[in-house]
Amino acid sequence: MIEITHENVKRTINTALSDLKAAGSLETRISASSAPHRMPVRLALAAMLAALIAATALAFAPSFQKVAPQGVWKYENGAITYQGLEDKYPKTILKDDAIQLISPDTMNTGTLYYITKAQNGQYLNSITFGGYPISGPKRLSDDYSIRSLAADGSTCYLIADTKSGIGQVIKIDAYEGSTIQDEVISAPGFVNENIDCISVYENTLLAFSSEKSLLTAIHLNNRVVLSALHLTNVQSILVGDRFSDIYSAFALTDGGKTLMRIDLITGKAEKMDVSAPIGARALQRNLYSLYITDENGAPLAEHNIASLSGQKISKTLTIVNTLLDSPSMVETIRLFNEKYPDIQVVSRTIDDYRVAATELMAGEGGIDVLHLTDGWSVSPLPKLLKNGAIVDLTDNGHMIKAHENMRDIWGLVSESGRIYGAVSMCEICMWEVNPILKSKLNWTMPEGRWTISEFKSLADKVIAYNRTNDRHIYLLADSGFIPNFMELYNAKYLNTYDGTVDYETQEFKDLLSLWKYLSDNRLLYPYPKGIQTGRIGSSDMVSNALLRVNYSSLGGYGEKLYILPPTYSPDDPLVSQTYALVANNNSDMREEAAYFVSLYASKAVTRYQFYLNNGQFIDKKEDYAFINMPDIRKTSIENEAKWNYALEHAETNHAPISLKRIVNTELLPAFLAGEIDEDAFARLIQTQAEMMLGE
Amino acid sequence: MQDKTEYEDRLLRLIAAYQTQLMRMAFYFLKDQMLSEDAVQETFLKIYKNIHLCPGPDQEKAWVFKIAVNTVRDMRRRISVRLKYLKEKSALAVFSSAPINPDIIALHTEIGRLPHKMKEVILLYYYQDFSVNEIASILNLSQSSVSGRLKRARDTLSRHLKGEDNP
Repeated sequence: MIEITHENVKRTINTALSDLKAAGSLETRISASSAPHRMPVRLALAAMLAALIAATALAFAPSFQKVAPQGVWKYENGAITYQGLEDKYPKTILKDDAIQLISPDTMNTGTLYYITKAQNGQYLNSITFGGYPISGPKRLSDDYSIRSLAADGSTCYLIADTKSGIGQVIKIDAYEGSTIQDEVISAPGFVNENIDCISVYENTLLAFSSEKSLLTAIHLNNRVVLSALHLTNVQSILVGDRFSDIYSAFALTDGGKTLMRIDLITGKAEKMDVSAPIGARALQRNLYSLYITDENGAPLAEHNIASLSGQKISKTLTIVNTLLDSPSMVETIRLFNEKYPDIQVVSRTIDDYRVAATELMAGEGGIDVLHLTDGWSVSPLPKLLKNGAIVDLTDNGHMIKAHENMRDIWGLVSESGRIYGAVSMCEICMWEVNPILKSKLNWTMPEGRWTISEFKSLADKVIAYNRTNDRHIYLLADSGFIPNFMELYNAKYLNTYDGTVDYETQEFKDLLSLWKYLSDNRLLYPYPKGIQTGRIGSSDMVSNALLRVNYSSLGGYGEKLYILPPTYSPDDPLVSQTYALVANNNSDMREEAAYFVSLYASKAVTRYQFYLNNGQFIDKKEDYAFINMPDIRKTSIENEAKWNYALEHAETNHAPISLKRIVNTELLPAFLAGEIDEDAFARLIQTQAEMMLGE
Repeated sequence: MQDKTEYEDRLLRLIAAYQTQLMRMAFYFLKDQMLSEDAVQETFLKIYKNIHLCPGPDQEKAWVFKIAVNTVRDMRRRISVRLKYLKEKSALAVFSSAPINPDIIALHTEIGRLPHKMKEVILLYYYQDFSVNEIASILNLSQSSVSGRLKRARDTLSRHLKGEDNP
């Protein structure tokens, strides 16, 4: 018997696995790989490292960022990016090497103001986080040597050196056609010179002069100096919150080590019991938070600005798994606090649904409102509905009004005719068509609904084409490796209320056979491993695939060619991904929670839900696509009709995300590699589904 | 402050030094070449993301293997169903084009059959030459737990190699 020694173990491993070398196997991985989606490790590693290295390179480049009411704006490497608080990734809004300063609008409009410098002058511009220019370029006076920018509504404030003085605060209307003249801010008692930093929020201007060690607060409507006090060693200032008897400002002093609160009514400053992180250099805010940031604007610490400002809170309403800074949530909280001024709305994150579901059903009071998303491993909805843990909102007055106006949307959060929540996000699924390949194939695209058998005929057409042409064409790019067929099947057969589904049907097995048929005939586009649906933008329609599964929120692409997903029968439901807010039926604050959710669905708030509609409430279903995709009517009336149709005929997809994961990463690769057959696949997925839905 | 070129150089050095060892270790847990490659890939990506935290040369190897152990554990959790149905019961493959002594095959097989906790300590101790102290740090265990686990693993291996407890 071989002895267990260091030498023998090493010899064993190195001998038995002598050919198993990372480098060697990397070389051979292309030929070794049978699964269509796999990418050679070396290529994957190289690609991922390249991305990481690129990201790191950016991190070394000069950059600065600003916290806006709903997200974070960043300027780095010649590009402005925006990451909303509910976005997974930042998106590039604008590329411009000439940007000198940026400032988000503090008024919750989602607009960024920025100054560019060109050979022929300097300009003030603005753009929304949707990428739409709002105003500008507005030529600014060549006399201004601009040091700082702050935006409040459509009004911007600069600190600039001018011919008339050093470090002056100047008010500028951002619109290029405005006849309002620039104004050097003046107020009795305010010396507008040698100002080093400013902060503007809700008609209050704070200006600090280090030369005079003087902080001045001015009410901009009536140009009254609210307060002026001496402070030394100030790094940054910030306007705080205003309540009936509270009017606050903040200052970061003492080399970034101390946070001071200034009472603008009494003019007194006090040191806050808040430790500023190392590297703290600036203060920023949005509606609910005060951020202590580094010199580039990257947040280092976050604090509730209302409580820092001195607001007295008696109770809290806890919302789980949502962010409080989205435009619709901000408005909901504002309206909620009008009725319940002493209740502070707070957020909490729970990663494990079982914890949330248990708490919800036990009525422990830790959760008042819950955000149901597909980010959890298993959707708890069936269990919650069954146990009466969610408030039935069907008879809620606010909800009835909302439901009347938006019946198609709210239908997505109804079960057995009862409304259980308010929609927070809705994506519908369409298939995008490659028009060039459509012509090459001479394919007459169905106008409306089409069937799986027609789809199969199309597959055969592509196979025939590939036999006689050199350039291989793929039929379908299903980028997330979740067969859209399965989602359509779930929309039809997965019973949300009972938590039941039957995958061991001939219909499901036929879908699997079809999928295998597509794979065997190389009709499924082999995406590189690691590419996720959400990472593929509208411009990424692959040139050698005819169709692409494309989920999009109601903001979509009017210029593309779309087709509805095929179904077995023209009456089968289509599919949507819908997130919802629900109220805890067992909460001590059940009434308040239900009121909150129904407010979220109300006309007053819903206008913020669809932020591209300029505040226009959508009350006609035929306007859903148009209002959210203003260009669609110009570019494609057909697409507009298709989007509206898909929305109206969609069922919410409640399939547990962990089920999808198992399909994508385990069962589907095994099935396509021929390791398991349709029966085994159906049996395994059924077992898993029963376990997950029954938990 | 180190710049990105230094970090990249350091990463490339770590890849050259450890990738094959990591690959072979991962294989004992995942029993699949491609999954092992994935594990190594993921390990190095994590390393790169945290390369600024990489300790000096004397502690570098333990740091790398700590990340690798956690990556393999995560991967096992993620692929549990596939492993359960397709891989768990399969024999541990041999990757060698040269003839191999039956004793070596036996030890290779029995290491592969060990419960994962035992496998971890055996591989880290005998294959990677880590001390009990270092293994305790890598696995977040006390030294006595590592010693105990090592003893049980050794005993189990010996029994299996003698033909005891074998199915």
